[in-house]
Amino acid sequence: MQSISKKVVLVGNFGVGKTSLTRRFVFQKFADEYLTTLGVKIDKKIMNLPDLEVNLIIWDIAGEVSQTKVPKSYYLGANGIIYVFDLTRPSTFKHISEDLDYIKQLLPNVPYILAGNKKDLLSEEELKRTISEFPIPCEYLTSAKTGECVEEIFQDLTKKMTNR
Amino acid sequence: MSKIHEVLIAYQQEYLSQWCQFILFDQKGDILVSSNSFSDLHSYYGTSIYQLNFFLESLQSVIETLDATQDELFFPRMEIPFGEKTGVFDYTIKRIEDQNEIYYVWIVEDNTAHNRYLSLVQQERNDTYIENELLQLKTQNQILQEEVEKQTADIQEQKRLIEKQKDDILDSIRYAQRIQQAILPTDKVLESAIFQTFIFYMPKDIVSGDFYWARQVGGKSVIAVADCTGHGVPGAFMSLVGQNMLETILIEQKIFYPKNILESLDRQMLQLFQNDNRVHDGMDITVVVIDEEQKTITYAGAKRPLYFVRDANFQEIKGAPFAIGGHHLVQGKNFTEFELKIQPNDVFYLFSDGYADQFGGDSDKKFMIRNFKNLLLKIHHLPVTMQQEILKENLLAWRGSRKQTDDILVVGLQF
Ligand SMILES: Nc1nc2c(ncn2[C@@H]2O[C@H](COP(=O)(O)OP(=O)(O)OP(=O)(O)O)[C@@H](O)[C@H]2O)c(=O)[nH]1
Ligand SMILES: [Mg+2]
Repeated sequence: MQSISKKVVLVGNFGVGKTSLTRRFVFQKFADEYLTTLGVKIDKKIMNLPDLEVNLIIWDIAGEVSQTKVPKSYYLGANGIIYVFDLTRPSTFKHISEDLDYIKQLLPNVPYILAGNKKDLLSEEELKRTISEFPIPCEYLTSAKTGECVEEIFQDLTKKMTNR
Repeated sequence: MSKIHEVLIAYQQEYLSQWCQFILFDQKGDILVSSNSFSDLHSYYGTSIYQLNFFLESLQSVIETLDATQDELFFPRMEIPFGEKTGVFDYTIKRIEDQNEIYYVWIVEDNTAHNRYLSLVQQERNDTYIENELLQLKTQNQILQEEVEKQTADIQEQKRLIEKQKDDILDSIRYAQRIQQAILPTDKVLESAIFQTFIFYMPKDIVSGDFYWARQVGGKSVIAVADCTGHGVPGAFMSLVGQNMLETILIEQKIFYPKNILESLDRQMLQLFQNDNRVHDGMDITVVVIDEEQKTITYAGAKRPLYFVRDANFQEIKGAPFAIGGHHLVQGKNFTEFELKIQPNDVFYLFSDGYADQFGGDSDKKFMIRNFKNLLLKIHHLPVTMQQEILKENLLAWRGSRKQTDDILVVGLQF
């Protein structure tokens, strides 16, 4: 079977759960402790599509309040972006549009996915209220803690990156 | 190859002050040589570096685009173990062109010590920032929650007040109902009369704008059925006024002719409200006087007819086309009276318009005068209590779950 490599970058504010989502996806593990990522951690996982083996090389980078502060070299050669935000902290989804505009300008035509994380911490009611505050619609609400929707975001992005 | 060694030595000198490893590879990615400071790569010489390392694997296409103008890439703070060595490294990838050959050197600098300090600072900054943000949100939510609770309490208090006011108003209206009922004549008034009577009386609200009135004086019975404008409390007030006036006309003025009774009523009503042209209220009324000796019934009506059934024939006498009181404009109202000889088994009906106006049935329409007449014709021969019962049952069935449209009053006199 044909095998290809794709670079995926997880971006977003600090503490939103980029490292936790990666850990959950690659190692099926989760930790409550918060250890900030200083620069970049890289992990690899193979995603099998019906006719294609995709080596996802996941760049889990240090969160920043604004994505313009991320060293530009981290974005180089990225094939897909996962923009993660924290559903419990509105400050982490206030600037999605500006951040996305910046990323699209650096990486034209690169697919991206929005993931509202830490869904497990919100009640139905709170979730409804939070969703109404999103500046743009978000397709995935995830939890690195319970694993909800984690596999899905990587799967969806892989499909988008390989035009499937 | 000697040239390559020279290049390596040049780089080794430049980075001498730091602890670093550099790896030289060619355009295909094959490892040519390494300084092997942290990790011994001897056994990998000649194999592809892109298959050895995730980082470079994900950057192959980028590395291949380096040229003379952009010949270097820098990646700070890479938290990836290098061989056996864990830590935080800074990576540089540099393109080297030598005698038309292109090579790349990957320089791995170990900055763990410096980055450990940076990491502590960043952790502290992030923890404090997040903690403050969550605290602020919690406080905001608390304030919001308290505000909502206060508003809910206010609304409940208002609701309680309104309910109490409503109860108070209903209490007083219920009391008014007792007064209204006390004033309405009892069965005893016509007890000794030569005819049987039924009174079907169903107010729309607690108190009513419809009223009936009866007196026996000498050998005469005077019976009136009236429908005051409006229902509920204003109607009830008007009905009190009307009853009081009838009382004065009969007992003090001793007028026994229906036509004169209506004229006197009209005069008094207009007089009563002459100082306030905002009040245009009045009433529609049927008055009959029954002379037991002469066996006659005399009728006059203001916008109300008299129905009677004689020998199974339905008959109707229409009243005057104007009401008592009301707009002051109608001058010189001329009421007409009709006298009939009473025959055995005659049945007379006096009523307000409420029964025929009741909405109901399958298509939510008025019951209609035609149906009302047919119903009366069908039941006129039955005992009065039964007639009253049938009128009630029929009305409830027609109305169904709908509200009552207006006050309802039907009085039957059976000889
Ligand atoms: N309850 C809950 N906690 C989560 C979830 N995801 C992450 N966390 C916690 O959030 C904190 C931050 O998670 P990280 O994965 O380190 O966040 P990050 O985005 O990598 O942060 P930086 O590396 O600083 O940019 C940790 O304490 C995690 O345990 C989640 O889905 N649910
Ligand atoms: Mg992280």
